[in-house]
Amino acid sequence: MNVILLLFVVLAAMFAAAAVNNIDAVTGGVEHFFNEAGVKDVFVNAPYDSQLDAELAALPSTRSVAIEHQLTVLESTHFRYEGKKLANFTNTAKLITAAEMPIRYFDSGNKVITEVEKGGFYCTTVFTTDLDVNIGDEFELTLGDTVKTLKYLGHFKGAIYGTQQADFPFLLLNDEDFKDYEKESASRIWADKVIHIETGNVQEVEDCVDGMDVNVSTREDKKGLYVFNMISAYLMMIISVILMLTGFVMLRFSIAFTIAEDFREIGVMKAVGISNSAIRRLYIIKYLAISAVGAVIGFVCSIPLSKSMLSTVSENMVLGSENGVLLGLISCAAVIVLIVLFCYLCTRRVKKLSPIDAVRNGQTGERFRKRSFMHLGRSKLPATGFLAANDVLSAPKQFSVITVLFTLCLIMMTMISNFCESLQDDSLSTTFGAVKSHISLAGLYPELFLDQDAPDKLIAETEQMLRDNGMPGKAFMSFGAGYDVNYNGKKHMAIIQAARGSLPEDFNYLDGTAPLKDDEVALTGYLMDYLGCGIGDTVTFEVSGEERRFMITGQVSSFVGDGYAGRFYSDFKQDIDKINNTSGIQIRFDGDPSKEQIEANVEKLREVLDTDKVMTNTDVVRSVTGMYDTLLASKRLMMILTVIVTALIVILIERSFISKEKSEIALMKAMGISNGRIIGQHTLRFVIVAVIACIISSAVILPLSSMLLNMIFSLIGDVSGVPAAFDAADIFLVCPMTLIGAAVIFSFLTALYTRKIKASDTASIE
Amino acid sequence: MNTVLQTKSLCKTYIVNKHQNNVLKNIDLTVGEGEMVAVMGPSGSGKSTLLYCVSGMDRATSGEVLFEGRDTTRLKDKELARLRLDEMGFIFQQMYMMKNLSLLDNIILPAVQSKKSTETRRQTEDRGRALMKRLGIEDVGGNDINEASGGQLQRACICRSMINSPKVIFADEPTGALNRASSDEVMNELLALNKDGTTVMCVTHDPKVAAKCSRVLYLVDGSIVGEMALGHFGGTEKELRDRERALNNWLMEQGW
Repeated sequence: MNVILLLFVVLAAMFAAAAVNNIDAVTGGVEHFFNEAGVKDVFVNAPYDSQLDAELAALPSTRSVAIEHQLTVLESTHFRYEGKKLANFTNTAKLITAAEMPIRYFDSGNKVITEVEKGGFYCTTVFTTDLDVNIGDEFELTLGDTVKTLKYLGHFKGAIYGTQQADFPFLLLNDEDFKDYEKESASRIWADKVIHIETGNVQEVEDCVDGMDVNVSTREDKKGLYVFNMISAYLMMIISVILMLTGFVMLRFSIAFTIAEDFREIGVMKAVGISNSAIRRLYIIKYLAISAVGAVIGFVCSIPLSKSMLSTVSENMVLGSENGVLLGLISCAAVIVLIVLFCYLCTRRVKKLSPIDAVRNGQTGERFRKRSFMHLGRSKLPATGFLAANDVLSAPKQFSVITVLFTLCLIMMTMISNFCESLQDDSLSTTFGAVKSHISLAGLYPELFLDQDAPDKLIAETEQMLRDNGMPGKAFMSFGAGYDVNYNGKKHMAIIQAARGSLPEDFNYLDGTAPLKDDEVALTGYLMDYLGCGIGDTVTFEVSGEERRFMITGQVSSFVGDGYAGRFYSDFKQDIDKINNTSGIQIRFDGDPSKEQIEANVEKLREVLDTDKVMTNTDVVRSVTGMYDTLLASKRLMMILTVIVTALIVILIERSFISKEKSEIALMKAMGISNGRIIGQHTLRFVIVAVIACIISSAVILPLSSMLLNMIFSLIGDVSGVPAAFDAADIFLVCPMTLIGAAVIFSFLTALYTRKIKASDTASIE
Repeated sequence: MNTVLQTKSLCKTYIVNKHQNNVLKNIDLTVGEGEMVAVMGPSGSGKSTLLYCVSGMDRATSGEVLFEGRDTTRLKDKELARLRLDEMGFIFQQMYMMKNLSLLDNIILPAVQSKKSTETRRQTEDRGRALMKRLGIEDVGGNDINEASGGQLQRACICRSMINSPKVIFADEPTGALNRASSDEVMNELLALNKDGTTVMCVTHDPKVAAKCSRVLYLVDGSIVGEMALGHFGGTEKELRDRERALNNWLMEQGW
């Protein structure tokens, strides 16, 4: 039993150290990444040939200035892979050079990239979306007359534009290759010069560029790019906490079990006159030694575990804990303290028992427990089934612990499945400002920035095009602009969207009603809380040069602007100078088309419009959140982890049971009960518990997932009341069957050990 | 009298730390139907090992064990288990019971597990109750095992050994953990069983117990060195005293 306890301690220490490390890495996630990358304070996107950097460098508070030129590849179709044009990303791609690198870029293994070989390139993950590429594969890039074959060297993590959410692929090239493309005029359309400024006064920079045709963003703004990466990271944190709980529950079980085993020995010690305190001291020292050895091994094992867990959610980030080792050691020390505490509490019973009690009641003290209400004579169950069910019911506390462990394991698997589904669920589209629809035409639509009537024209053209192609439907266009919303002198920048063509019922309002007039607005709870206003109050902000008053009619949920956002009524005329956000054109087909019909329409529109940027709503949500693939990978890891944890739980607990029940097993064999039936009984016990865990998990997983999902959403935006989406087959069949299957296989394999117990061992049992 | 059990050159050797320990040495033994055989001998002489090898609870190292003419040493584990379940009953010094079952459920468990029986669960339970009544413990059938006295538990063990109507009951120090009164009660039950035709083979240290048996074997260092036929016990106190005296004298001769 001591060896088994040691293994449990190793597991608990391993899970605790990995969990604490993951929590630290996740909560400090983006900040840590930005620090590692050396991200500066302000970024100014200026025209390619601008000389603004010199002006900014001269500002009194500027400490340093670095520049990075970015060339543009307008369409994914400029790239060819395996002879085919790419159609896997929506926005323009950006080319940058290794000669500049104003911040540190990291490769997939988190090593700093210092150079890029000629003819090679690193890219952000968006570039290889849906592609099965390997390092060394070749891509062809054509810009004007320059055609080059570039070798894929792997992904790189660029802190200020490295996420799926940004959706602009970046390619880091060798400077010679970059210069060759720089000569092509095609690469200079929308080309940028990004000026990275390290300053003690952000406002000074903003004032300096005020009125210029440049875009300014701060380090804090850039952190917003990682909101969806943080969803999976927070999810991993929750999983880590569950793992830690699993470790502690296992530990509690094991210690109680081990001490109960020593009951007879305790009785003998008491009988010969050893004092209670001396007995307790003896056990505490013993468990201290076991826990110290286990904690050290667990700490060492936690390092690769934590690394592999974090790696699945840090495809675009460098997650890590600066204090990882210290925290790991502290958590392992906590495990030791906890074990000693458990031991102290468990040995409390020593005081209450007389020596005779302890000796007479055998090595396990088991006879104190009551048998179940079941009666063999009246039961309709087969004998093996009866014995298994009776064992479970006779020791409800013991098997409850196993049920809790199995339930936690199952929740780990199913929760990540639900998160995966939720992050591609159509209903999430409204939280980004898009109207619920069948498909979307993604794109930047530059006319929006030039003509206030552009949305109406685009909608009319799209609806006509749909009619012409025999797929009539309604088009919508959602776009947002940034306004400095003011209430009683308090101001906050907010992105307020208007969805042209939509009806009030197309969006959900958590409270109040939809804005229906030109002077009404609905705001997020975050914004209202910050400004100190509520529904019915009036806020002011400048629209197209005019200071206007808007009455707040309702509260909306939104991921936009980190939750500082709002919504106008559908026909509101946005300030075109402040437009900074669009969800493209959404299309809702007439009638109720089937999924197949929608897919056929998507294909047809791709041909008609000669673009790959026609997407189903699910694809849009997947593309915006950008975390589906990552979560899918995490789901697989979680399934493997769950099977491993279940296997460890089952093996260790079943081994403990066999050790404890040796006398009963020998007796059953002496009576003539076959090995097969004994193994069956032991296996069935775990099956019963696994099934109960599946039932409990099925009952709690949906409300629990919704609660946690909304908790995480509220950390990255002002979104609440989103029900978790789920794949019924996954959470009610695949995951439970995986758990039950693991329980059956590993309990069966461990129960085979009962074959080593002989009928004649009955005589040699105390 | 038909032979129920027979051993031919039965040997059992344990190897502990590369040291060979011959516990049973070429034992030739025959037990007839309806006999009640006591196996006696000093501690470590191999009495229990003989019982376990003969009953198939342990494998012999060499030799044959014939149960109704069938060599049990050649049987597979599963066949041996079925033989023990259907044809043999066991009583141990410690009253081993399944802790999670009531006394009655413990008693009927072998019957429920047996494929021999075609009776319903209810009929099995009734049979278990009848056995308990016969042994005077019908009132404690629904009790937990920690709610019964040692004597009640051992009688429940006898009931369990009888539930499948075995041909032979093996008892390893059946009264070793009981006081004199309980011990007498248990032995009387075994005698009654034997009288009904069940063969009994029992290991004991107690001459008073052995005196009630029809034959006594004396084992020393793994070999049967003596055998005393006492004949079936009639049941009177005087007869018991005479048998005890004779047995004690014989045991003294054997070096007891």
